Amino acid sequence: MTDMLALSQERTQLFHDLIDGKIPKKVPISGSFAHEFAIQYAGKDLTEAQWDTDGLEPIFEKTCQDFYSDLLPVSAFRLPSFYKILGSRNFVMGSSGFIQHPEVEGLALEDYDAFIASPFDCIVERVLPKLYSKLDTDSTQKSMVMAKAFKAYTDEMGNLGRIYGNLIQKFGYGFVNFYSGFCEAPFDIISDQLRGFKNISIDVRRVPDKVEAAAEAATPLMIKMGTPPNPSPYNATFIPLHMAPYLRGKDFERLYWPSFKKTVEGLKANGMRSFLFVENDWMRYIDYLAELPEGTIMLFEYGDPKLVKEKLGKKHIISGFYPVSLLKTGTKQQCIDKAKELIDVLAPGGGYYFGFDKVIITLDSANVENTKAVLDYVAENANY
Amino acid sequence: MNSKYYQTWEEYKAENPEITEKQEQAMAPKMQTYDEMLFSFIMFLCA
Amino acid sequence: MDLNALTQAVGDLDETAVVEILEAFVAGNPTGEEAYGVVNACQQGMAIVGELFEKSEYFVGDLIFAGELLNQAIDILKPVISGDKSKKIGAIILGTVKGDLHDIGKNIFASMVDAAGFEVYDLGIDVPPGDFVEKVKEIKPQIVGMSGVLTLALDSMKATVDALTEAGLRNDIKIIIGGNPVTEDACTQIGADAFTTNAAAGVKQCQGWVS
Repeated sequence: MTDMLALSQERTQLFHDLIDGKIPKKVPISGSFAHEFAIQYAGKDLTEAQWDTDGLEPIFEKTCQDFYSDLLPVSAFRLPSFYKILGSRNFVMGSSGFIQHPEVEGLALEDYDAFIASPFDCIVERVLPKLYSKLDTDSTQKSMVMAKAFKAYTDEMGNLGRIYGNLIQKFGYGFVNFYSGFCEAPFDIISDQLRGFKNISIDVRRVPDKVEAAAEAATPLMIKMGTPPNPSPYNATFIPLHMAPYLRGKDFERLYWPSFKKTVEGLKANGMRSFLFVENDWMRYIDYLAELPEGTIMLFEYGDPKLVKEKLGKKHIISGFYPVSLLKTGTKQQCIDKAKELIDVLAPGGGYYFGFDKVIITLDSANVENTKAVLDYVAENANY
Repeated sequence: MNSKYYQTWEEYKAENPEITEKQEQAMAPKMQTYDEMLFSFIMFLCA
Repeated sequence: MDLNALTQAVGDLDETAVVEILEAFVAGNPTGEEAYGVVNACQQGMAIVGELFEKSEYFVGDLIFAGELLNQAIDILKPVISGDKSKKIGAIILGTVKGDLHDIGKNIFASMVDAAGFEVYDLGIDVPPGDFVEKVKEIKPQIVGMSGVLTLALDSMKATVDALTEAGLRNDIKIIIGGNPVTEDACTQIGADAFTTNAAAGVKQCQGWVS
């Protein structure tokens, strides 16, 4: 057995123990860098590198080399080729080379009923042409554009899959994938690309019954979307949570929570655990989170780590809280002290892996030396 | 899932009764994969 | 007409009540003077919304709805408000700076300063420094607001302030920056007059500048 394979197995064991509710040998670490960071860190041009996905391997490799992690730390999520082919309005590359998400309305107010009646038909017939200008045309053109875009998408995903596999082998990362599936909370999918942030905030007040029915209708779709072809108890479906912190408690309770909880439970019934990015501050909803199935993975952005450990620590797997903003502004010592402080609170008894409070998207969002120092500190010192 | 843009193997077979059992064994997994892939892609486009 | 009840209904974000009160008011053929009293009552209702937001009883979604409610109120009142623009308390130019396409925060802020009585000129997203300069020359506003979510927005904000300084316009305006990455340090470095990550507080700041 090669050294790297042995290392992979050792790291896989850390995560298996974590997931099985055993105390691992040390605190597992999952570094998380966006492809934009990796491209800038390798000194490459953002626009060119995002189009030339064949060439991403040596670019990602540089981040893998310099930043400690037990799982593959780089991933790409949105790439320009297929968005461009489709004439995307919702994901657009700005003058800086970053793909960004302007506010869009994929679902008109009067289309709620169509969505509620058959969400997937409504997405194909009404939403896609509003989000993608090249699909807003006759059906022959549409099918040609769709064919090109799907080919581009599968090519990009194929390239990424191959690159990920090579890097996992080369750097001995664990064989655990928390991004093996992807979906959203039903309320979030209706908010993000369909109604938009502004419209949904108004809908919540004006047409709450429609919002509630739409979230319910989207639930089976989200469960299906989040279930990969081969579910595994050691992989997870990534669900980035979005809108809840912007809602009043009583709107959350009625319009957000029930369909989201059903989604997580539905995934569990299909053999998938959920990996939640708990964006912003969910502390006022912590008792709701406690209701989610045992072993749900939650990466927190903001909030009170002590409270989270106390309320969720025995049932769920916790990560996050480490402020990327500190990596940018703090001294090396302050950064290391923060890691120590979080580990002291979150690691006892297991159920925790080290992670930053968000993906590091760009080179200027963190000080590179601080980031390395923190990851190295945790790797060397956080033993059980 | 009830949608005219997504077909399960059972629905496909009902439309094509001439498919033999031997053909079915070879075809079913592959045909279904493409429906699943297109479903995932479309959902990704609005997520 | 009970102005306090109107203020309270706006503060409660009770759309049905607000619309009912305003429609009854407009049906009574009020004078322009009376109509401004009513606009003022609505704006006081917005202040309540701002306070409840600061106390974490309202959240961002409620602020957005409040902006919408105010726009709707103004629409109902339009027929009885005379065309006199002098009642605007000031002019403000807004935009998401170059390189950044995020507009949710900017839009919330735009509808809130609009509701607070400002004439708002929204330049949109990915706005280069030159466009800010041109518009400032044209409108001569009291305030320029720059928004951004990405860290790189901070550099664009600085470039915009520099361009305004170079054009000799900096001393005629107040500059406020808003969005996720802004901090006191960033504000000083950029050379803005104020920063905010909270739309309601930003509106207060702008009102302070023109009062």
